[in-house]
Amino acid sequence: MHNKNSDLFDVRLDNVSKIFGKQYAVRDLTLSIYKGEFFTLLGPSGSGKSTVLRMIAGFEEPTSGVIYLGGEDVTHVSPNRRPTSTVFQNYALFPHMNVAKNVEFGLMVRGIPKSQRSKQVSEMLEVVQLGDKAERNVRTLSGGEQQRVALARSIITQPTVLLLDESLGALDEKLRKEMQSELKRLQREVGITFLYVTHVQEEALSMSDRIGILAAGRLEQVGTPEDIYYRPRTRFVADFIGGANLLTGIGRRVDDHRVEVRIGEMKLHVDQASATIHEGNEVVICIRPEKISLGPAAVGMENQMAGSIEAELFKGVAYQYQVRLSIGHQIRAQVPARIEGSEVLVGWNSSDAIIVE
Amino acid sequence: MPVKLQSFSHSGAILRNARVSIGRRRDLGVLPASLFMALFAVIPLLLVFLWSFYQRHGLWMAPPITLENYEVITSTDRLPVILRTIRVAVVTTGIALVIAFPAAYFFAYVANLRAKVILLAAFTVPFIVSPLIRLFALRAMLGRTGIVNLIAMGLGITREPIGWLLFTDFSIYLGLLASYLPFSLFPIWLALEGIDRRLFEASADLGGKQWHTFVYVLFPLALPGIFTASMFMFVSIMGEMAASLILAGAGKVLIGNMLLNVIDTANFPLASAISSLVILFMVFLIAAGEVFFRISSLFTPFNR
Repeated sequence: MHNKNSDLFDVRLDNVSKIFGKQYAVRDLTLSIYKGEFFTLLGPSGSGKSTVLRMIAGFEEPTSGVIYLGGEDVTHVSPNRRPTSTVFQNYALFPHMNVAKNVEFGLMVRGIPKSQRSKQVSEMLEVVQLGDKAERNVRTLSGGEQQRVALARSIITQPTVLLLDESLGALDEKLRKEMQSELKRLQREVGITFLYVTHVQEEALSMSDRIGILAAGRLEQVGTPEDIYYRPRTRFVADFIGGANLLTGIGRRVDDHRVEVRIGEMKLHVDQASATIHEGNEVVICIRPEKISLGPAAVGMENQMAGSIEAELFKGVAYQYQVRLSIGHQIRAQVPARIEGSEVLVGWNSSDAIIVE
Repeated sequence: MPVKLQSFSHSGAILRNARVSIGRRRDLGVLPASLFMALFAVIPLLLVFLWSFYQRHGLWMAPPITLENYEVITSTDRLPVILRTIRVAVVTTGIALVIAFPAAYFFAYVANLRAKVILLAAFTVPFIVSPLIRLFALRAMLGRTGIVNLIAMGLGITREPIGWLLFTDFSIYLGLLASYLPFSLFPIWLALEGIDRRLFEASADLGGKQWHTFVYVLFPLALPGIFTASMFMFVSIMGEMAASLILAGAGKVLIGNMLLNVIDTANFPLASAISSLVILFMVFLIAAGEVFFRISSLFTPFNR
């Protein structure tokens, strides 16, 4: 069946579920990924993100639902007939082949003539900056080099979608940072849709055009990194991304764009036009640690209360404090300068707090 | 409901291979085995090679150095036995690999744990019986009044008892296979078990059809196991005596039987010369394997 949105989307999952045994690994997942997009599926381990990737690659068949690639229904198509290519978590390079042979594999099985193959391989190796390592045994390469071989091996087959399964997970911190920008560069250069799967939120935020957050096999939220970070829709997303402070209280709509949340004696205000608040119901508000001010900086802010500092953590660009609020709750605040003393004023603006589900 | 405050911190856990050492001098552990092999395997081998140039002297042997023993081998009917044994070893090893590979594949990729245990038992339990007893049982089965002929005649496949079942090349091959098949099965099985399954997925993912995956990924990675299996089979058959003694007819002896006869007549220099030829042939095989297939590279461990 030809899908009418095929011009817009490279990947479309329509109500896809996967059951292992009696357990839902993925449940009723509907997701569209635009052509040329860098899309990241972000979720903790066990959230089903790898299963989604494996279903798109064709290694797992969905229990129900339909998967479209480039407008074609591929739900029951075997992996070798799909226009996808996977960069595996451990790279899965062929250990008995050198770098060039690994990269050549996809072309070889397509029956492309030898001369054309070697030309394409050397071009590809230049793109990933491994031109001088063509004859090297893949076992003797560093982690970053192996990763680039895996990328070259996949990209050379010109897939519609490149699937990356926690592909930076095995690299050390510095190399991972380098590969993040390398991946972005490659993606712009080759113009292929990237679907990246990871549990590292910082990777997702820095590389993606859009992020989908998975929890327990369900899609919690899809949006740009800014959307996800500043406008989390659910408690889970708020907490998973950047470890937001969550406070639960009783809600009441004040006017069109303001909500009042009462926690004990304390009344807090949140600017929120969209959320429907049933008077007297419990609501959860979310405030990012870096949106909270301490000491003199908190003077004049719309929400204020007293707090005492319980712990200090120097983070390089900022100081992070654990603060016990007068209403009894503990929050985290991230401020640019060191705070003297332990009893401080804590404050934030109503526009910096949001209500989450 | 109290305010719940949570903080997740996801530091990407980096899994690294940790090399754990037991004590500081890890290298000392290899010493007992090396000493044992040097004393009781390498030195006797060198002695045998030296003795092959000695002459008979009473019931033992002594210099002068001579090539006489090697001349005796080439000028008598010793050489055909050696060549015949090599042929039998090559053919049996070939048949064993053809049978063992699909079985090993089944063990590694198809069978569930229960099936594996049952099959493993089927392949190993017969080996608690002495090989001599097993071979005699085989002889009883294959004889003119054995169970195979009885069934064949009972089913009307043949009117007369089939004669070529016993005391022929057929019975030798059958006996050798019955004795050594597991030795070719297990190394291949282990090699297949050791292959990272994701490599097969990678092959399919890159567009490889099943036969591509088999020819370019599975088979090359199984080669160390196949080579080990071949060596086990080959070495065993080159030294085999029982199967030929019990199942082969007159004149169908193998090197092992011939050696025993020569040693019985106390002609140790000749026995040494025959053994030396066999050893040289094996060395030649391994060298050829190294030149053409780079066998040594197969033993370097694969990164997972």
